[in-house]
Amino acid sequence: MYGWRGKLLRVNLSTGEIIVDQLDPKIARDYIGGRGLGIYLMNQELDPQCDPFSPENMIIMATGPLTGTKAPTGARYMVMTKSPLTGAITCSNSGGKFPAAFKQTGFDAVIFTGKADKPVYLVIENNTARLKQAGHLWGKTTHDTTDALVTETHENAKVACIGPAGENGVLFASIMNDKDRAAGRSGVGAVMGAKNLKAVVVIGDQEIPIADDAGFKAINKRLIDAFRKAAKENPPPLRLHGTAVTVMATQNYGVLPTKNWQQGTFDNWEKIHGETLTEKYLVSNSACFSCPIGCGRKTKVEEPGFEGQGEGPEYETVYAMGSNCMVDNLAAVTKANYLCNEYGMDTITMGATIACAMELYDIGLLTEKEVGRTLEWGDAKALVELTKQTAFRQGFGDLLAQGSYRLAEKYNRPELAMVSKKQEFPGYDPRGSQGMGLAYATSPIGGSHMRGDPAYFELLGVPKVIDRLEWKGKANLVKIWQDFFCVIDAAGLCVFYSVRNLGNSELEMLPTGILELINAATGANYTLEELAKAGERISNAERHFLVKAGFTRKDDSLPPRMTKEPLPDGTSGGSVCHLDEMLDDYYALRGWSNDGIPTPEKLSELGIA
Amino acid sequence: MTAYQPLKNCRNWALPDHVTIKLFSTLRQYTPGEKEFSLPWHSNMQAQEVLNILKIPDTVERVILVNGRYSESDKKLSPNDIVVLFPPMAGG
Ligand code: SF4
Repeated sequence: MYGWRGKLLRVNLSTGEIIVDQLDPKIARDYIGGRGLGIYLMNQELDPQCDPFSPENMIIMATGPLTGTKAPTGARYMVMTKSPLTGAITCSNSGGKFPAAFKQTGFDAVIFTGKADKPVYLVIENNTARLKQAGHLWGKTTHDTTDALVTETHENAKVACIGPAGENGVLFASIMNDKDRAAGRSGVGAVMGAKNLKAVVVIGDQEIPIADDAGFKAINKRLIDAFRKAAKENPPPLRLHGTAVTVMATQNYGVLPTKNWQQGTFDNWEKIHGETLTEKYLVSNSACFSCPIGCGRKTKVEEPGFEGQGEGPEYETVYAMGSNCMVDNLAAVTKANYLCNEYGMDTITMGATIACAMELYDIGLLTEKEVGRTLEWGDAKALVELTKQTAFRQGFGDLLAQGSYRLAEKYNRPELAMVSKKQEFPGYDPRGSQGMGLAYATSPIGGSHMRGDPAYFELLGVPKVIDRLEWKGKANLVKIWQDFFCVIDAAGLCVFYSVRNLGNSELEMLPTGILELINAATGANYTLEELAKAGERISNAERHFLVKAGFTRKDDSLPPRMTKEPLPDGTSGGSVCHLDEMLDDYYALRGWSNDGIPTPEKLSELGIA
Repeated sequence: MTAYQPLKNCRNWALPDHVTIKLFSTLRQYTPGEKEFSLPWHSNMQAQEVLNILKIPDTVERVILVNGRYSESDKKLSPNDIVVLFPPMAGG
């Protein structure tokens, strides 16, 4: 095969057996790879009702046909499993250098099942793989684990691993690769920990065979030349200031979640803005494999108490740990971000859970005795201290390790958790960004902006801005963008580049540029309709798994704060999210029942079994 | 549909016959000095006039917000309006 490697690695951690399986070309074509291949395998092989921490659960690390090629941002892989946080699927995406090196070992994906009786790690080196003991690494941070594994395997090794949080079953533990890139969300690291799998090490240097090498090179050259030319006149804000530059947009739109989503603006927003990060802490930007943008932030903090060095924070971290907790101390936010990277935890859920605890404390349901300290809004030291305690499940951290929903539920106020399907929202208030509310509610992983992101057309001007307070017509756009993101994720590309450069620049976004790249790389000769259809197939296959796991319309929800409490401040003041109206439209457009279940006709049209 | 409320940090709110301009990210380079400043308002003033005064070329991409609502460059401005300009972004 071209583009694809045609091989899957299957690792049974209970028996230690490793086998090489073939990738069925028809499945590759229908599901593309990455997220699509992952959900195909889950539907075929995983009991949707299984306990996420049982040996039965599987972890799939899957690349796409463009991962590891010279395609711009062909850097990404996807981690799929049944989530311990939500009970739904995960699709945690990450870039860096690890995914490309993984693909260059000769495999499209690795599938882990079972549970090792002692800690192990997997080494994949050019077409071969073996399990090795990892007892000496257990308890180490992700940074120390990575350094140790590079030393004991190969100088060119790339590492994805868990830290103490994954070992300790923190429900939102992440898998970190290249030290600071995260497959961050939904607790993928906790599933790895439950399987006693500490790390995956890849040593790969095989070029990916390309069907039309000259054609592929020409397309890439054209794309990169166009990108460079445009960047001269319009330098990418992401390169200059990272994703945290978005703070100024959300603040001005009144959708910057503040005080556990009780407000849409934060008085001290400029202190946590991306431009402030650049001025105070930026060392350099960093880029994933084959990326012309380079949005990563290598930073260094010297303020006493918050000293450290690493990567971040991203916008989502700045919202979750900053405005949402009313912490205006960017050094503290950055430090808490470093700790999440080193211990292996999702910064969004960590920050949002602390914000929820602050509200419970504010209304007197949580006491100083229970928390082990005071927990006022804006307490920068508490943010850092509780982040540490969570990774090790010490004291109050044991409760925080369950995420905000379980925390709020314990105090009989589950509605104070700002979640969908028990996963915390990213930083855009759906009361002032209606399509975003629908995207959160219908995302297969719960609260997420990366499964079809209306912020682009409601807030950020890509491809243009439409009325963010209008709910009519949003269902259609959310559906189209969700399916478009499925294609990006399945191909192995980065959303940040793809939405501006690999679509048709219409509101009704189609994967025109991805089509060119995939066809040249794989020789699969997709038509645009077929490729877009593959995106729809992936969305429906994910929904099919969720339905089998017991999810219906009742789970496509937002907390009442979003649908009933108007925002009190800012330029979205007075507005609520009209979710129910949009859901009716959305299900009808999807060909799902009014209870959110894909009809047999829809599944058969897409060939989903 | 939405009750508009002024931004708390607006220094010029009390001054009549001005519009407040705020520039962000890559558009900062077009500021006459401060990143936030005011321009005298006059009747028939449109957002485009702000772009002209700041000499922002047509080829430079920008998102225009007037009082937190996305606006085209022919948007008519009223006294005390807040005009925010930033480049389109892909990221979050
Ligand atoms: S835009 Fe940022 S996240 Fe995406 S591939 Fe480039 S550096 Fe990585």
